[in-house]
Amino acid sequence: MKYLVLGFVSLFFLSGNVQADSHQIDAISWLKKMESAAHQLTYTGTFVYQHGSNVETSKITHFMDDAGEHEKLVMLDGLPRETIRINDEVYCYLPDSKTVKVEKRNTRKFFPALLPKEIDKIAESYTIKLGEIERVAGYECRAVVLEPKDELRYGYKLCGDVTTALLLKATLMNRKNEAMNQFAFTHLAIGGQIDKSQFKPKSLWSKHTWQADKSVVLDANNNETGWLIKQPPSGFVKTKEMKRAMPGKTAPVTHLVYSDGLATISVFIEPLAGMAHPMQGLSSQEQVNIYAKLFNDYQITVIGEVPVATVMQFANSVVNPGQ
Amino acid sequence: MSEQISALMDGELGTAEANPLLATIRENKALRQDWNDYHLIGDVLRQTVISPTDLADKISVRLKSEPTVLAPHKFAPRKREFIALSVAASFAAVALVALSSLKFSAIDDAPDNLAAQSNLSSNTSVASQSNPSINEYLVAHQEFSPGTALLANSNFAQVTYTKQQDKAR
Repeated sequence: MKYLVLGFVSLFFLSGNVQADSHQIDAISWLKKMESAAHQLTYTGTFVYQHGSNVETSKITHFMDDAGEHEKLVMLDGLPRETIRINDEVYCYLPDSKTVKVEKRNTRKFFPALLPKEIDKIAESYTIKLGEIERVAGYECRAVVLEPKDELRYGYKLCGDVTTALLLKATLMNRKNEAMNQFAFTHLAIGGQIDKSQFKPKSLWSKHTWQADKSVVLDANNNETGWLIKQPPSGFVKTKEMKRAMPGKTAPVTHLVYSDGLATISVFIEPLAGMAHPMQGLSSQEQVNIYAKLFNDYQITVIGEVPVATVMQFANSVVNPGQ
Repeated sequence: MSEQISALMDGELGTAEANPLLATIRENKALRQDWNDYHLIGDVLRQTVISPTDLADKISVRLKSEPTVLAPHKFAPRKREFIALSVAASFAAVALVALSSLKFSAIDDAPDNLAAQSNLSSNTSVASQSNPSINEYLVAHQEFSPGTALLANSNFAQVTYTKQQDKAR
């Protein structure tokens, strides 16, 4: 509660500043406030996720208390799905199949908490500028534009509520400055009371099948799988390394995750022996590019929301020094 | 009219506008030809190897084989069923075309020779079907990717979802 009060006081102070002189806030500290607001604030709202010609609508409820961060996401279109996140545990509930999927160590980022903790690192790969004041879901928001410094990644435009800094709209932009996908609130209430009983997943879904995540996470700093990217493209560092069991596969698949703070790239390495259909070449769906190639007796597949050249560069830099 | 067809292909028309337009296209031979030509042009531009052309052709063949109804009463029930089917098929074609044009805009920023080098089917949804690995990889990737957090639970995850259903039974 103390923090909340403190938060509101400082935000009030900040909003005064915004109105007084917009040049006084710099873009990076505004990004940091946006990062924190998504986790700290209480809010309920509806947002849309537009990707390609698809629009998906979700209802979000979020609050923070002594037990930590709580978030409930109900997808309103398509297959019925609900996700409850309590700190880093995620419960994904699929009512039709009476299944609950559990991830114990959530790394997924959900709107509006899209920003990483390490904002300063983003500045290495993106030029960060304050944008204009826009209006989203009835709120005035201050935009920050992140322009990629090279051609290895896409750009972003993030717009945060001028009063609370809550991210209201996030747009992924290609090099022609066209939107590739976009999250945006259409309705939002910040603050207020939340019915906390809706955040008890186990009692609500006790009669369902529970599925635990079966991947084994290894230390990202050691090359425990033996695989690595020789000279990853600038700005990208390895954030996760794991071996994971995958449906229909006998051998575990090596999964390396690289990130520049915003864009994420997955590198999958799998023995060819276990594969019925080896893959080679480029493929893409909306903002996601995929490049597959064969390397010795292995299938290398790189997936990322980055330009084609980047996934190719990753795939061509895969090595296993131990072999 | 051709503008409207183009809008329909781009998925810009709502059901209310699309349905009468599809009916008109079905009735009018010239428009039907336009419809096929537009798809063909789109496919050629995108160097699409698979489905859309194929599908449009199949629809066109089926449309052409639609009987000239001399005794409407007799054939009415079958015809109705067939119309429903071909409307559904047309929508399927629109969906596929929409998907390929997205793909086009993404591949567009690759150097020219890259697309030519590609051996893999350039349509991910088809690749997903023939290569279940792609789908599994996408689902795994989405655990880490903010941009597609919700995508993980929609398009791609449907395959995983079906498998879970099977398991649950």
